[in-house]
Amino acid sequence: MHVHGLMADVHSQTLPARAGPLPSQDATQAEHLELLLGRCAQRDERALQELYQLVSGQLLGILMRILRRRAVAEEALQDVMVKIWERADQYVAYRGRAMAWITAIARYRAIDLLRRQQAASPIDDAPAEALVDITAADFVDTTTSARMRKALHDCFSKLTAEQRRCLELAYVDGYSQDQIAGEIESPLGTVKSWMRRGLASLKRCLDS
Amino acid sequence: MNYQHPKLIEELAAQYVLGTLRGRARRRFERVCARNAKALDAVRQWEDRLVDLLAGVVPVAPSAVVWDQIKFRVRRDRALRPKRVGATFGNWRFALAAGIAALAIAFGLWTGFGPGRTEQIATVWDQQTQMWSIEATRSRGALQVNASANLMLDPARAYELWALPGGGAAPVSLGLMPKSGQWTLQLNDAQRLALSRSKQIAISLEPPGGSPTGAPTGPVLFFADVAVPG
Repeated sequence: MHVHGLMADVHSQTLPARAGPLPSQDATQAEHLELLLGRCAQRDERALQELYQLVSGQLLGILMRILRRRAVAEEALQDVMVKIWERADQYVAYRGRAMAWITAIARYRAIDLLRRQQAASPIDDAPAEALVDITAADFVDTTTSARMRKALHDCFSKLTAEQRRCLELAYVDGYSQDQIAGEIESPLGTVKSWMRRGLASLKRCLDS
Repeated sequence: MNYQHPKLIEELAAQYVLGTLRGRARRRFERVCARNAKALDAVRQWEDRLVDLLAGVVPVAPSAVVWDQIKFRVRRDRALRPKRVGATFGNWRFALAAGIAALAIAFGLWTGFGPGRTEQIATVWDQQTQMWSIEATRSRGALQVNASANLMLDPARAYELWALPGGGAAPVSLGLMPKSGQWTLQLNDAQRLALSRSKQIAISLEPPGGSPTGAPTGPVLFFADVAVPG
């Protein structure tokens, strides 16, 4: 079973309504994405096309970071958009931001494909560019809350450099803990500890 | 493992979203999420917390063919979804599974068309879009198939035309559909007989070169009524 498929099924369970309004400008953008998902649920192909135009560049960028190969990433992008189309009616039960839902589908698909891809050949070296530019314009335009983005930026910057690097390699590049240990030349146990503590710190900071 | 423990749930949810929960542990946690709303909610919260970490990823413009393929897959799935279509396809499968594959071969049962005349016998639609028109001429014992302009078709697959004789008889291949322009399908006697007994034709998606088995192997994308000869 595909991960994104299952999690989309899981997300279809009835959950309480989303909590808290978003800042106005971001809320408008978020609402636009939500509106498009609603129209997709009504089988409006033009809404899917508009959604594709809005998010496909970001999704392909994310997929390529994990999958490394353009052809595989583009194939995955097809799967993701078809899945979004099929599951759009289930977004109403999701309590997070539309882009978080869409991105989760993409990342889970990539992780699923990554296991098969890595079985066939080793992945390339880790990309050199930094990933902590959480204010990058294109993403800002279609994700939702400036407040949440700033909160993540602030909390993330409070982590140690090792914690940040481990979390980035896992979340953005799809690295396993073993691969991270190899990449940063640290013992696996240490990497696991950094990640666990990093996540706990991040949660404490964001929830405070 | 006690999946009711909030701290464990929280940690697994974070690792799941991060992507570091792998293999059987990942599958197991998905099953937990399917029945544990707290685990699912923890996943949702981590998805929402972390999504902005992707802000630094440079967007990449997809190739034009990606959207074409998405549109194709969405429309194909929609074509398969209607109840009527599914039921008909199910009957095919039943007929094939039951081994009702024998087809009587006879001559001279191709009916209706005068010498030299070409008559439109079917038009294949996808929603509001005309895909193909099919004409038949008795004198040539053939079908002339015209593809509409700018059809959005899977370049890697073949579209195979089938006569549906009904009465429990197996579908009979009439040949492959053109993806552009027009071409002629020469019919042998078995094909002509099958078509003469068909009230509908169908088009299935097949590997390049057509079905390797003589029966539809891929999804049935389209059905069309066969016009009664005038």
